[in-house]
Amino acid sequence: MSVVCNQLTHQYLSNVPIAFPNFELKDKEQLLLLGESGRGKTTLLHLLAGILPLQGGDIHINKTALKSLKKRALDKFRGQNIGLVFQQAHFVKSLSVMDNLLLAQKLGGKPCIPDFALEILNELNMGFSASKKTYELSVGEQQRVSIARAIINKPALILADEPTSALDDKNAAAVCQLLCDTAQKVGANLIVVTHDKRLQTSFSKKLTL
Amino acid sequence: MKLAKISIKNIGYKPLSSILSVLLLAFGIGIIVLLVNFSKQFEKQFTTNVGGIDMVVGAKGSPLQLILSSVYHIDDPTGNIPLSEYEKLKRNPLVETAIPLAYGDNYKGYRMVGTTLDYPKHYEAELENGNWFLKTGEAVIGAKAAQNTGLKIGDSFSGSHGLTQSIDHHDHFHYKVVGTIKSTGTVVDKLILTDINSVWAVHATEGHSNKSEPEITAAFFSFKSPMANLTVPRMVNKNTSMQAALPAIEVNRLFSLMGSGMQSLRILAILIVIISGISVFLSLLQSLKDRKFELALMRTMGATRGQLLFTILLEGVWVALMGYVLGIILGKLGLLALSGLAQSNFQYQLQIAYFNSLDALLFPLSILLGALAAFVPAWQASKINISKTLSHG
Repeated sequence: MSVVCNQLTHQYLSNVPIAFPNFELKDKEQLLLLGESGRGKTTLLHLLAGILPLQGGDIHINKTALKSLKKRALDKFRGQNIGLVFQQAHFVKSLSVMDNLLLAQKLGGKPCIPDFALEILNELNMGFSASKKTYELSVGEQQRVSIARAIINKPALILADEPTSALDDKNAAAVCQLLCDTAQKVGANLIVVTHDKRLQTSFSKKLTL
Repeated sequence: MKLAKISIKNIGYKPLSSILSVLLLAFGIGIIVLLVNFSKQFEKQFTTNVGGIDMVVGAKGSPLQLILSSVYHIDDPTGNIPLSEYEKLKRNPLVETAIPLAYGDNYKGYRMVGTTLDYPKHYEAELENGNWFLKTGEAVIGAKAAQNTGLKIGDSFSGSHGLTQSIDHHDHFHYKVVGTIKSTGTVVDKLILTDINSVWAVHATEGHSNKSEPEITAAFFSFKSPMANLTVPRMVNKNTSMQAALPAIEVNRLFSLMGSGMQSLRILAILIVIISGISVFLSLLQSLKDRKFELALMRTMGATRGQLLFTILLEGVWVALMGYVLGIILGKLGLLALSGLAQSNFQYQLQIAYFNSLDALLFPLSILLGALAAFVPAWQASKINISKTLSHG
């Protein structure tokens, strides 16, 4: 597993183009991207996730150049190789926790295996919530489920966008620890984008935008 | 985890927005089912019963009433005509066949018709059991009349005066059931047939008619050549005390009277269906606004544009499917109620198929409507800007 970012730039319509620093992550390496608001943190994350089209520069995830993937192929690559965790956990509201996880398997092009989904929920101590609707869970619990969803397809890269900003100190530390541990366990690279200074100590590799 | 399941769950999650669409479609389809089935059977009943009868002769009055009472037995007769006039007309060289009818009594609401054996022969009626009426006082029973009155061969009964159930019984005169007729799908099914002499016998002994000359109520004629259709009725209306009516013309008039009503109902039904499509369209558009983030999320989980398009299209299709099923049920229930009404008023019953070709035809049309209504919202969903939606969601 590896991530390489090379001479990445992005420009929104008439704004000044943002140039991003080059970086490279080797097997299981984890990176904390720090920066104040408006420095292009989320833009970088969206470029990495392939949901913003690349304008300048290259991104290689697991030696695959995102540039080389077109539409459907990019969608499927994203579903299989990238797990996303957002500041606020979002789900398909009409579905239960379990169904949200199975949906991630389905959309990632993997077979839907409820036992496996339950296993992952149990590892995150969320086994009890399988049949609940996502809006019945607390914010911290929701974030755990969204981590479960991010790792269910054993992705190459987990991207987390301000995963702890909405949480109190205790939950923030727990979620951060969980992210690092689970990423390690599934062998994925982890990139956390945040302005949350509380996370600084948990990462050895840091980059400031 | 099928995409179809998500679309069902999405409908179930906010059912209120779909209920109006489902109800509208159900009503539209229900009315169409009711209307088409009813008008088809109505026309079939009227055209099969009138087949082979070129002219009906009866007492002067409304020609439509004469046809309705003599051919379909759903209206009162216009009066009586003297037998001698009928006999005279029958000898006209242009007349091929003539069938006399004398009616005016009923048993438990089922009309008794005194006639000759030519009448059942005209409708190609066959006996189920027993014999045809040969002597005065013998009666054969149509299939539906037999079923609903419970009369069997060997039973004896007496008729009541008038065309609906009444307490004015002809108690002194008893008919004997000698045969039952197989179901023909024609008016014969709801009649009790006797020899025409029986009708005279009943009323002569009671002194209903104090004139010595026997009378009949109406008569059917068929002609040797179509030319006679023009000349004979005119002659009858001009030179006799009787009235001649052409069933073909009267039935057409009836159809065109009903037709305009049916037509406006049909337009109404189609309008309701179209509005249901618009309702599907608007409610999906509204719900997509609330679900923008979810859709973007599904894209980040690997959903292709096509998959989002499909999921939303399916939501429209599910709503259409529910509307269709409910509509068919509503339509059949409506037919059932209408059939009950026709049964109690006219002894006519509607055939209600569990599933016929119209229902089959409405199925793809409904699904198409749902898909069409959902297409624009689905297209918009598939075009959603993931990055923007996630950043501002």
